[in-house]
Amino acid sequence: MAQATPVADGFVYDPFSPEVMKDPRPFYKVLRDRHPVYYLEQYDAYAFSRFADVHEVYQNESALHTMEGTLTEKTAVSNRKRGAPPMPDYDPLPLLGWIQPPEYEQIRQAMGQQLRRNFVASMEDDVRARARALLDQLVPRGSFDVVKDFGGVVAAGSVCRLAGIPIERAAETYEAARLAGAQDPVTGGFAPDWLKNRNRLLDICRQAVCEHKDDPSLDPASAIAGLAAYRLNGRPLEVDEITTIVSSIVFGGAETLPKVIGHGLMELAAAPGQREEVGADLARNTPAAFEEILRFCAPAQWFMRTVKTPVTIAGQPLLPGQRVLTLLACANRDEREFPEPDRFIWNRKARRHLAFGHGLHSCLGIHLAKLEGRVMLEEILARIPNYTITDAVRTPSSFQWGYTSAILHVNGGTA
Amino acid sequence: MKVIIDWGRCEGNGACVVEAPQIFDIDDQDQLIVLNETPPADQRAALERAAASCPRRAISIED
Repeated sequence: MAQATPVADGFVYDPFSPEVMKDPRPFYKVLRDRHPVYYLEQYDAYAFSRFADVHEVYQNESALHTMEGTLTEKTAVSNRKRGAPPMPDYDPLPLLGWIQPPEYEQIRQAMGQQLRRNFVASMEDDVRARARALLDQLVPRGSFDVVKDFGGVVAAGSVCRLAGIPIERAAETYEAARLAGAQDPVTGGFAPDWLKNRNRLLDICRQAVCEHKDDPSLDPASAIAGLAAYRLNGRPLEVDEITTIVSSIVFGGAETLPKVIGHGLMELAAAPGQREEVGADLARNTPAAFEEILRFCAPAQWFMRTVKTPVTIAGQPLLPGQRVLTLLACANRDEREFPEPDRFIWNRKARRHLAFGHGLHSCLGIHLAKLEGRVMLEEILARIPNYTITDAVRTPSSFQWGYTSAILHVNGGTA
Repeated sequence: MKVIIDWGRCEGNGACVVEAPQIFDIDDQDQLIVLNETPPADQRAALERAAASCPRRAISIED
């Protein structure tokens, strides 16, 4: 294990240490209060933990850059670099997090038309019908895994629709996405079988791309049609390049939301008074409740930027080649932005939060996530108002720290 | 004061419409419409809120 950097008072934060991956929250409180600009010598990185500072990082796109990607694991940042690293080349295209504007923006536009607000709104009936059909199967069992068997299948089903994947493959698509995102709880590197599942996810996406990309009846607004029509500096994208981009939509949509909905339902179960208030008028109250669930439960812990040109953030001068970690989940619990941040308050109606990031790499699936979250809350609370949840498993991770399994009991656990 | 939109970046999220409905609208194809490119000075605060609320940072203000 690499040595983390001690600071004057003995406090040590390393996002890849087993203790932090298991539960970063106590570290976050200390970071915000005592070390809002925290230097990690082993990665030549500064971690920003307060809401205002994280927000400021996202205002500085030209100086704080993504040429090393927005996500990373430990070995990738254990090489210290002096001076700004080179720009990635596009032959073949790297993962989305490495692609720079203007090509990055062009690709978002090409793939994202069906993730826009009005199109997503037109998906509501389908999302609700799938959620209801699933509950018809699950509720008679008396108890079921609300993350894997409900949230995972509903969320993956929506991205299957958008990516031309047969809806019958929703459960395996979710499983492949979940396992492809898993990390080793001790080393902070990839979990042993992540590559197998990454390839499984790519195979599912590649089949859809090959089947649909030359189909003249394909909706031109769909992600596959948009990417097939896109020209990268004059050349069409290869099947594998389209597949990789489509897989990022599928991964983003299938992997994250189930963790959020599972955790949100746990918070409501722990506060029966609040659950009753939300349930009193579901159509009216679930949008606000889901916003608070996003602030409180969003699993993305942090993203990275690399300094391209000298800049000062929160009084800290940053030099080319150094890295910046934006601790989003920590910022969403910042006392300076949210009163009583560690309390779940369903009708908090916070002015803003960072669950979807901000700026260049803000979440493309924001409207779909909000629709699905709201519909799933409505359907569960309408059908099972007095559920309990046990056996919640929060898998250690440096990145997507959230519940990967939680058993919901239909009759308050007494059935 | 002039409203500048980065059209390659805007994704029709509509956050600006909530903050400054006199300046912005979204059509049913999810495309942003700028109702007034040169809003009067008394709409500056609303325009600044709209720019700050844009999840993609696609709005800027030119004086």
